[in-house]
Amino acid sequence: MIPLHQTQAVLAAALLVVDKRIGGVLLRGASGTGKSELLQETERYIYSVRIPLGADSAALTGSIDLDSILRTGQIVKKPGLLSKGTDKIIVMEHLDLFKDSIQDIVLESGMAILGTVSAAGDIRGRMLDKFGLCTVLHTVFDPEKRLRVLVSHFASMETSDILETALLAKNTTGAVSIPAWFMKACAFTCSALETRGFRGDIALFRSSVALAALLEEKEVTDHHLRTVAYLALGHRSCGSTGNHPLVEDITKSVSYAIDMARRGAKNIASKQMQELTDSILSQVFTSIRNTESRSGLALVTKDKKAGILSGLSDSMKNRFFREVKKFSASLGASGIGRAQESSRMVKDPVHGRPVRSVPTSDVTSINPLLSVKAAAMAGEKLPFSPLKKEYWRKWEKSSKPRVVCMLAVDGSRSSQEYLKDLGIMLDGLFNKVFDQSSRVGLSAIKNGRSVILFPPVRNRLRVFGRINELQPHGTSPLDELLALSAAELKRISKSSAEKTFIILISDCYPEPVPVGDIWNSDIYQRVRKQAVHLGRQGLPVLVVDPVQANLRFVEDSPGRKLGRFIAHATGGNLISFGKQPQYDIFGALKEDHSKPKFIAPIDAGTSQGMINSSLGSLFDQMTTV
Amino acid sequence: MRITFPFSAVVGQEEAKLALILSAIDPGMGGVLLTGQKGTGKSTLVRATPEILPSIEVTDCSYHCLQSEALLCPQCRENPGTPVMLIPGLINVPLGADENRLLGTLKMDTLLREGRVEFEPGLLALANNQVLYIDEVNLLPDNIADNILDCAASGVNSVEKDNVSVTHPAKFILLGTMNPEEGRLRPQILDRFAMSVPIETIDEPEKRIEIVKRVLAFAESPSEFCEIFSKHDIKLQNSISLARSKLSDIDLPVGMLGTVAAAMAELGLDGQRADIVTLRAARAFAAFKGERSVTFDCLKKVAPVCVSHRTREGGLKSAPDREEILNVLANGYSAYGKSKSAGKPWNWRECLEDNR
Repeated sequence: MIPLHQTQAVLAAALLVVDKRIGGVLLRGASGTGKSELLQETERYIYSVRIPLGADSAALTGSIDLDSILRTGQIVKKPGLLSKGTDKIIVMEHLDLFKDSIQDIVLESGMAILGTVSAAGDIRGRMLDKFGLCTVLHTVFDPEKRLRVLVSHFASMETSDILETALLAKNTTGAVSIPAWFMKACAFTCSALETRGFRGDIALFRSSVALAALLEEKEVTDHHLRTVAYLALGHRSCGSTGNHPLVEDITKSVSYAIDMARRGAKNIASKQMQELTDSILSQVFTSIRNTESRSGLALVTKDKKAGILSGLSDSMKNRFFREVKKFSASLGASGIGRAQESSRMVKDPVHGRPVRSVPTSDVTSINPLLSVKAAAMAGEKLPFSPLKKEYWRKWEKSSKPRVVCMLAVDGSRSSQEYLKDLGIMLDGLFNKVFDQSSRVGLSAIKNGRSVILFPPVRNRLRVFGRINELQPHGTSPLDELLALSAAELKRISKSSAEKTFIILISDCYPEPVPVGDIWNSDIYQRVRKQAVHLGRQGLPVLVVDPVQANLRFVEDSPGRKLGRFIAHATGGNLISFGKQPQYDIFGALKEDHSKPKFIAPIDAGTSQGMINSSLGSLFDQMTTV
Repeated sequence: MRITFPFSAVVGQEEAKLALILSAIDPGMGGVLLTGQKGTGKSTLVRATPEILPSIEVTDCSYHCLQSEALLCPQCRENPGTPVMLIPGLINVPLGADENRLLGTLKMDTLLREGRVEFEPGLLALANNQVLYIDEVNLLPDNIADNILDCAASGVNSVEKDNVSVTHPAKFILLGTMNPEEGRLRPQILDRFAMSVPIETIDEPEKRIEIVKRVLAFAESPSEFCEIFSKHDIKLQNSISLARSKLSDIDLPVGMLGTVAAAMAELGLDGQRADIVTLRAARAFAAFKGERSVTFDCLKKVAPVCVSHRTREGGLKSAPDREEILNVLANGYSAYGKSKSAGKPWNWRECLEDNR
């Protein structure tokens, strides 16, 4: 009996019958969901070789025939299970229970595998990627459907011709015609998802074609691609994290890829770009839905500070809009016709600007792309949409400022605990925020004296790596450190295109701690004087204070006061990380290098919120200096 | 031959007895697991089970093949044996048994003496059409348990190792006992048992006295003791035999399928093995009781033993207790018990259209 209610799994099995080159099918799921039944049923329609659980490696690869040696003295090779014809499909139930050595042999045979893994079973990544299609069979909880399953189990009246049809379609995949955009769409889907390797592309392509053959259709269409996408890609490792993509990710990527492939794009922007685009588009959608007016564009454009772009500085926003406009203009020729637009332009009731009215009662049917294009052509500044990669690159490049900065690390004893993680954090931050050609140097206090450990160079990794090696000594003349760093910056910076500033990593307690009135002590006065001096030169200092921030006595302490003074006097900023969040920041940066952090929602109260807000302010500060 | 304690002489434990009888009527349903502390009579019950099994006609090969089966053993495929009557016995899987002993392996004796490669059937081959018993199933090594359960589910043992390549039928009634104090059983293994019955110590003094009396009498003179009870066993054997023959004629009304489906869905059990086992057990019970179709009472009787050991929500939720099972069953009955419609059959083309 075929567990027909498991539509995805049955489809996968049928596609394997049609074309075993899709590379095998893996069925996962709790026990009693119909995996084994489907396996047994499918076995009848393929040339299968079943590998039993206890099989040893000699049985798979073949060995010397013992019987023939003993009887005739001749050495004859006994064929193994895998050598019984490579056009067969290997069937393995409970794949996870097989020894690794057996799994390896099966993998190396290059044959397609039809396998099952129970819900609790674990499967190696190497094995998983080998499967062309993979699907999870879920328990049905709808009583009516469950009843249906039981009826077909007990009455065995439920027959289906899907596997017979698949068998008939077996040799017809060659007859399916493949439009030019199609292979591109497969590749685009995978590159949008950033899947590792090319197995995903191939599985996607072959299974779409197999589906077209199964449905006896002459040409493979986007519908086929959409239907098999999750089967072919749901189990792939994606991006730098190696996580499996979500259904929504796949659906979005497929739509996007099909769209781009049909437009004849040569390549597509990365997933990050797509994420940004998606969120912008979803905002456009929401604005359109939320508006009473049918010509919702006005509301979309009205507040460009709202939403997703709020994390960007004004200059970056403007650059973004400029690029969007340029891009929109380039699309103008293939977009909506001029006559159509001009006839529909009406005045926006709020601002009196011309917008395109959308004559439909159902606002969800508005095509935001067309709307955005039209608005852009009418001179509106809009957040929008699939930028071509070259535009994206350009924007990305221009959006990241080029800077020269000195990292001044204080040598006080309290810095010892955070120095180790600092390099990683700063490296992450620099990669996100600054242009590749930005330079950074390192100054620190060594044996009581300020020294330049690195003049500003491009190789940040070397610089940040050195931070770990710093040895705090208990003396920290901050004024000297600041003065030396400023001098170095002045020496090195020649181009006015480069912004210069100092990042001071310190709790601003110059050591040795003076006795008596700390604030008015000699060392504090000197540091204050130096800060005022730097302020006059227009050299901002970002003070990063890793000491616990949310304690009252810390806020009122002379050190914190001094930090605030330096920041204020130089036009920089003081960023303090709480003790606990301090470590979370490093954790977050270590894990999530891939995510665009600069669109960080500010959610104070949680530690994640604190990190985001700290990072956000640091970012803002760095980009506007 | 050692005389075993008769099945009918076991005092109480009605639910366990019923489970064993049902699995004897419909061996394809899956095994029975008896859990309980030491000295509660688990093993005694299991060892007595062959006494109530009707004898069957098999071939005289070492695999006891049923001639009606599609898959025959290598011996019968070459040369069909002569039919003999088999009184099913109990094949014990000792705790120390290794994979070779279980699955079968190269026969060393013939290899060395006669220079011939021959397959030596293992315990699984021996157990074909008999009872396979695992004592302390929770202490069995994982690979042995996996092999047994894989074989129990498919009814086929195929051996591909040590230069032998053999496939033979291995259909048996799987019985397991365990003491939960000694350790838990992996949920996947637990789920493979069709029924699970907790055996509790009987607290009523009268019954306890009866048990002691019987055990003492059996120890005194086993043959005399068995004579008293074996007629009950034979009666039971006959009714099992009768029920087996009627099994395929028992009607399974759609209303009962619906009741079970709704009840199990409400319990949130993983997979549908519980649904199927409950219905099969209810069908066996109806056959045993001489009824013509499965009724709600049959379901109520068998559901607790079929369901109480199943995992829910991937093992996050504890297994349902008897009260809960009976409650959901009643709910299911009130919603679907009288229903006649089995719903629309699935059509794969339509399903694909729906995806669009």
